[in-house]
Amino acid sequence: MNTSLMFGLPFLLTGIVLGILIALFSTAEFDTSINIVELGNLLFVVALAVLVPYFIDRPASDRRVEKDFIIEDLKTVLSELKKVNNTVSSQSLHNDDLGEEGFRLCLSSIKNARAQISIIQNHIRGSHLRTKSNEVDNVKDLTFQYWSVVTEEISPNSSVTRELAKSESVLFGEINMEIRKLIFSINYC
Amino acid sequence: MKDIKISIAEDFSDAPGARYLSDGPDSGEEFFEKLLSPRFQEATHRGKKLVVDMDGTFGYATSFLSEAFGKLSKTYGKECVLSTLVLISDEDPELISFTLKSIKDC
Repeated sequence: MNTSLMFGLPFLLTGIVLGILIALFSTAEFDTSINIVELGNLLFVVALAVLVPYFIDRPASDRRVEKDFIIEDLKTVLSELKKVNNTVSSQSLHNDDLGEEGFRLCLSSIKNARAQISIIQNHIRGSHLRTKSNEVDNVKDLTFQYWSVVTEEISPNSSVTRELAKSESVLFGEINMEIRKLIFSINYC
Repeated sequence: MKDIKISIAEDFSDAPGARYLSDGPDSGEEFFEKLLSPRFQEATHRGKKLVVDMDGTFGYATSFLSEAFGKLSKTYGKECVLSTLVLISDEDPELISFTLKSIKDC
């Protein structure tokens, strides 16, 4: 049930009951003639009370849901790429082979991140946040670059070189910053 | 007659590897030698298209794609490859543009 209706209903019922009680038991005299101006005024106020939340509160809440949805997706992109970043930097530090498991994790995480960005891109084009399309495109380009740089060098049978770890870290930092900037601007736009 | 098809995930591996055989299992070099090149030859001999379905894997390394498809382009010529090969990737359409670039740049 709509929350405003849930909170308003007891007051409405109380008003009706009070009205009936007063009409039944009050000794006061009431003017039963209808003043058309006052009736119009009353109807106008009631209409405002109903329409204002419908046209102002609801769209605002829909926009918040849309924002939260996209922000959550952007966080997923970041967390997928973070897995790659952790794997690459840890293997580089220990000078170990990446291994089949590490290699597969890197590929699947990058694939997931790129798929997620495509979803965001499609979603944002049809939403009120379409002005942020360029920033999303920028994140997508950076992630494509990240995929090209990282997966060109890694393999299950070799360790991660310091050069690759460095390039990976720089690119990850850049994507991280762009996504955080985007989250911030979506949150407060 | 139907086109010749390869599903990388089903016919080769759902976790394609890196560039060379020495890099580990299911490399681009292995894919080229065992599957891509023989099927490509078969397709050209029979005048058919070779349809390569790239969906269903854990993901691709760019080294795998550039090795397998770049070598195909070097071996058979880019014009012949571009006119015979049909790439499918519903999951990640950018894979197609990257692979086509690898073929054209060789």
